[in-house]
Amino acid sequence: MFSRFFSKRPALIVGLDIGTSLVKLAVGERRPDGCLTLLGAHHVESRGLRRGEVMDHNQASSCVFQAIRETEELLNMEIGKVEVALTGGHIESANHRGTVPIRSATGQISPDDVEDAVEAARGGVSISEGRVVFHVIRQQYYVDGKDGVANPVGLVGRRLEADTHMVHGVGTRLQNTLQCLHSQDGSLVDVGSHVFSGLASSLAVLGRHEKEMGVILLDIGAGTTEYVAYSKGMIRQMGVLPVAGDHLLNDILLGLKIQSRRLGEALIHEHGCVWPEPSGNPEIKGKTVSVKTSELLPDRERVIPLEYIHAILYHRMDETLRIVRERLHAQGSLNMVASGVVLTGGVSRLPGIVELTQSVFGMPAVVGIPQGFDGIMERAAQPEMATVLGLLKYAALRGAGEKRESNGFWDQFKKIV
Amino acid sequence: MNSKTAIPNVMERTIGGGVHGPGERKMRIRVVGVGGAGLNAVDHLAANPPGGVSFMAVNTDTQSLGASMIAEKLQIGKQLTRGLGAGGDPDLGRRAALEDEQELRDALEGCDVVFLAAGLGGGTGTGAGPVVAKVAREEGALVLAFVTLPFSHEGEYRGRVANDGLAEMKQSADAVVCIPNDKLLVLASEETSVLDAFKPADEYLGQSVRRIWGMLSQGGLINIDFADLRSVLRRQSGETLIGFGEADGPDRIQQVVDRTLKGPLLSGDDLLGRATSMLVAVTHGPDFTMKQLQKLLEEIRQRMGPKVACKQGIVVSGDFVDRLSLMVIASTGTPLLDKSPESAAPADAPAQPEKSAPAPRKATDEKPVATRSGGRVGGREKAEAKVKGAETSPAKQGLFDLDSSASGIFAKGEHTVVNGQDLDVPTFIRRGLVIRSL
Ligand SMILES: Nc1ncnc2c1ncn2[C@@H]1O[C@H](COP(=O)(O)OP(=O)(O)OP(=O)(O)O)[C@@H](O)[C@H]1O
Ligand SMILES: [Mg+2]
Repeated sequence: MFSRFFSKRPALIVGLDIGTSLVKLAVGERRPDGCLTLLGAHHVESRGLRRGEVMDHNQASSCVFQAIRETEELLNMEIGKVEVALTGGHIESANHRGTVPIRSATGQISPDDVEDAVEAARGGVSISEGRVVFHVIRQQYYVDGKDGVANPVGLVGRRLEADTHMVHGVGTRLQNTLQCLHSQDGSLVDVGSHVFSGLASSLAVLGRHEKEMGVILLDIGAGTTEYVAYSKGMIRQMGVLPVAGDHLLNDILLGLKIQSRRLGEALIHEHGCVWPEPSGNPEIKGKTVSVKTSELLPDRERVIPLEYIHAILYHRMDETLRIVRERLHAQGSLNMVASGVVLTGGVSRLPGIVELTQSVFGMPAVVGIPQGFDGIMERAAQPEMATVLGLLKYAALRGAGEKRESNGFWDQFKKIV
Repeated sequence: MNSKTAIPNVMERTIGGGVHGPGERKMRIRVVGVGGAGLNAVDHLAANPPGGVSFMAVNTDTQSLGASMIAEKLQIGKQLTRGLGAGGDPDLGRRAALEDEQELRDALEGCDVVFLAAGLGGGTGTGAGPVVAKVAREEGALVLAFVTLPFSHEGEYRGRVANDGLAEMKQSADAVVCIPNDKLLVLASEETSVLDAFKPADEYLGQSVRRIWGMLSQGGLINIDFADLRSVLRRQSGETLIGFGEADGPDRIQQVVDRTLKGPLLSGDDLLGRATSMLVAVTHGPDFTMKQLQKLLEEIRQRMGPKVACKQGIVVSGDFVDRLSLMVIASTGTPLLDKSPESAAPADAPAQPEKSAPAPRKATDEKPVATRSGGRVGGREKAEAKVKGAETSPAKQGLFDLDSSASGIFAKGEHTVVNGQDLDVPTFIRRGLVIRSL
């Protein structure tokens, strides 16, 4: 699968989001002016994943390769390298500051000083055995205690500090996702960068202004809810709660005794709503819907009051949002947010979710639509496409020289795992 | 808004009007009367039979069998008693049943639920009743026995015989509903004839059969299925109470609970406090709110002991606007897990209960399980596994179905626990909402 195509068009970027419900691919091209043109997007249903993580390598990998092959056919191209999104409940992140003295006699800061400061920050992270740091995001620098320095190289001082945001997770579990690019039959696609899903989503939908004001991104997919909080243009906090759309489905299946996932999904898509306080909602009071509950008896329908459907979904969503809110609050991120909450992921399509988020967080909420692409087809301007499109942005930023990470994480993986 | 025509009636039966078992196969329910009193009770029910239920009369006494209007009759112990009855000797009754064990077996083969009615204190009901129950269980049926205890004025001897019979019945049947005849006296007036005095007991059996059958056959908002019933009833030496009632008007919650749990045949019984499992079936109108439903369940819970595991079924029906119908089945005793022929198979022995997810069930998933009485629809096997999951869980969640933590999409693998809450258990259950699980 090695690509002639790529050698001719080095600016092509392929994003791969191996989601719990859908494997999504997007192909973009970085233009000389730095803008991104979206050339195509594709998705297939995924199998072998739960809570954002690979449980069955063969199933997941075959879905990934199916998505890759179909995209190759659709766009008449070959894919040799992909940017991959990573998620899972084990992923954690934290801010760390590294301090170094400036070594040069003149006091002028060199790129090496910057690397040393970042390295010092990194050295300050104590993570348990088996975990690996897979993002070291450089946020800002301090020269002699003065903050707000974006690029300290060339400045003069005696002490350099680097604020970094580190993201880490269990190496083997991250590896399981990347391993999907090695198929059983020996096919292999290279991994360009691997990016925390939440970070990718935030890149796709958040504007500079929002990040400055302070904003929370929630990507609620099928298996996981990723949260990212920005303030003053920088990441404050990121994390994953492995509760999302599949839990909505689970509760519906169990609560309403529905025999099949497919029917449960259909019910949620058709009648689902998480409007706050469903039991007090006069609009649904006394209303019922007739739904199929068993694939075995397709003629058998059951009449269910809407109130029950809404209540089951509302309680799950309310709880999920509250847990995330609590986590953000515990780290002081909530107070730093002036802009509001931006929702992405498939569950952000659920009616009432914006209202519920507003009521739980006590701030405005909107559904985030990926933006900043040329040639974007309507189909791609959807909240669940945030992660995969964010991957393109991430790779484009790195490629454009704004590379803010030291290299070789992939190699580091290989060493550690 | 709540006009009857606007709201579809969910009490409509499934196609064919049958009751369906775990494998969505038509379910076989049989009501068996054993001995004179048992026959009388079943005769009463057969006079106005619920559809889909078959009847059978078992006795040593030719005359009594001849008088019964039930078509399927089995005379036991022909050689032993020569058709003259067991003469009040339970041992004779027992041996009579054993003499015709094979006939009993053939008659009960393939039944899913057997309701057995017998009067304790005499020979056939007391002696043959437990044998019939045992055979029915061995044939794979869930056996629910309704027995009466003699009046105290019938003397101490009869009382002792009956108590021994009751103990034996508890060993043989899955569940035993016991009605002391003395309670019937309370209901009777001076003028009530002896025959009429038994009417409330016969009526009670009839209603119980009818309602349980109705419950299993209805597709409710939250279904009670055979596996649910089985998990509540299948006990070791337990006693069972079945109560039902209806009420309407603004005060219907309180009233229906009183009527259901304070029926004349149930009163003065501390069974509720000792119950280890219960099943609550509610039929309400679309006007009934979630809060009201919670209140109803709370009312019931308050009268139960702390250890009870509960299964709930809810049917919403347009016919029940401003009206409420309730049935409570509560059992004492310890859960009985592995005595059915299927689950006694060696492969099943030490294994963890297989937690069945409500994933798409294909007909081909249901592997037939061979028993010595021939093939059997394998849905049973799954039901058993589910029951095990439910009954072995600690009864932490009080009113709510323990089963749900053991099934669903996240049954397997590591659970997500945050602030002491298992997030893989549905939120509505942890928040104390009413709806129960598969
Ligand atoms: N209209 C809708 N209403 C409610 N839920 C929806 C709707 N559309 C999609 N979903 C839900 O969104 C989820 C899929 O979202 P998404 O594609 O973002 O997840 P994913 O990326 O596959 O999973 P994850 O990111 O958790 O690994 C499913 O649970 C799906 O049921
Ligand atoms: Mg996703």
